[in-house]
Amino acid sequence: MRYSAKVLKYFYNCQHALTGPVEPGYLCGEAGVLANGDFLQVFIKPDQGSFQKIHYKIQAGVATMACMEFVARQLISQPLTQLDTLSAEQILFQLQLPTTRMNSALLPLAALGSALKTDEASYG
Amino acid sequence: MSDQPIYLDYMATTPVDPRVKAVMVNYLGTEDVFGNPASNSHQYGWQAEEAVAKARLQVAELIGASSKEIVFTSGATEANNLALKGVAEFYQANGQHIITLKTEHKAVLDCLAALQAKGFEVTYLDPLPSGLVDLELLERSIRADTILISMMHVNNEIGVIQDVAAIATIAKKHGVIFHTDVAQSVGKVPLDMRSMPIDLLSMSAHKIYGPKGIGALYIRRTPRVHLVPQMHGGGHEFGFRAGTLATHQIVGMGEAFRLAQQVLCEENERICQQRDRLWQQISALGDIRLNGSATHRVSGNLNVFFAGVDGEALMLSLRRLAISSGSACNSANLQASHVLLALGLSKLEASQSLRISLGRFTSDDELAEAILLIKKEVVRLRAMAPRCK
Repeated sequence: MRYSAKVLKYFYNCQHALTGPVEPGYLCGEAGVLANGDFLQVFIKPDQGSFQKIHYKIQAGVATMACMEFVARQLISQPLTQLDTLSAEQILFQLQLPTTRMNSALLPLAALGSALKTDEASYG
Repeated sequence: MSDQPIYLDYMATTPVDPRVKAVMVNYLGTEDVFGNPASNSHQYGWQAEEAVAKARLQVAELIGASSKEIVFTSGATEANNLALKGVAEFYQANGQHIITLKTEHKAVLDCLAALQAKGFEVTYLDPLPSGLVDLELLERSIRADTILISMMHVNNEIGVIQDVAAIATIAKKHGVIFHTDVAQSVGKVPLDMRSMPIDLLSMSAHKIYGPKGIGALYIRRTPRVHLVPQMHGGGHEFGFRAGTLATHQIVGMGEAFRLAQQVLCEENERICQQRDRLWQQISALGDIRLNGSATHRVSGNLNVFFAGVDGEALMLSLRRLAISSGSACNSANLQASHVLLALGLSKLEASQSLRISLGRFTSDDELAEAILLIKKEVVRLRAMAPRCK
């Protein structure tokens, strides 16, 4: 599949992707199924009700990687409630992805949502 | 360093060899041989006819055939259509059962699906995990009403080389016609119709440094194989394939085949060494595996499973390289390669596989750069992968 320039922009610049171990103190969430090849873990550090830091580890296709990076950049330094205003449809629209890629857009939102429900980092 | 990506997708297509191009340009314009080869009343036609005859002989010589057994088509896909549908229609009074492998190219599988829709019965055999056909299973699958076996010589995805001589012998023993698509093997793996009892061969020019849009079907004359033509309109090509011959493309194909015959051994050896060096170097990454037989494999092909790395993500990360993934992608979903699934790979493993194919113009410098890039990106993507408890 030939991806849009927007998808490639985020895919080629995964600034928030983590290549080393996560530091203590992060809230962790995950979404997807590793056996399906679409799985991600997000690590967030809230501060005064905002996303101070967002990192992720990911094993997924191009679309999911681009969606995760896009969402991370949208939310960094924003209030935690900003997550509720993001929808998968908006993500797909912004990245010019077809609606058949809905799962790629849903995974980052699900992972972030699950991270906010935890109390402490539990992954090394 | 060129701005163009390094081309490592030779099994998709090959660039036209400059020597082939130099021949082709003499068959285009007003100062060239542009006549219709079927125009038998003037010099323009005679010259074109002579050029076609020469090219036909060049194609025949590479496979040890008579030029009268070569029918030019628009490519291997059309040759497959002519072979499969032509045989099925001619011999259907004798039976309507056809045998093939699940790993065949879509050009064969889709043809057979069309025949199934018309009432033919097709047996799709599972390959061994190596990608090779189980010859005993093949023989057991032949029935009294089997009229055709179709199995490609070299698989376009995994590069595995089938023993077509053995398959042909089995087919002949049971009076079954044997067709093989040799688009990926002709000019790379020796073929000799004098010693191999193969009835039909589909060939392509663009996989062997010739132009796109031209191919040929070898149709054995002794013993004679009959086909029902699929294109009508003038009786060209011994009545098998109507349509004005594209002289410039045909001479290009002829020249490409002539060159292949000259360089086959030396070129194979060089490309094999490059391929083996590539495999040895990237094997150091660990957790990678060759898909398909390591020993029965065409010289330029590697189909590699990289554990923990999405194939599409790796392919796009390697933007300096032109390679192919193990999955075909439509506009909706990634579809796992039917070839890799038939070998027994899971959908995940198939999605984590890439095809790398080297060729005539792959330089050692390009190979060295490709090795570095592949190692770097696999390490990077693996480092990004989640670690689970």
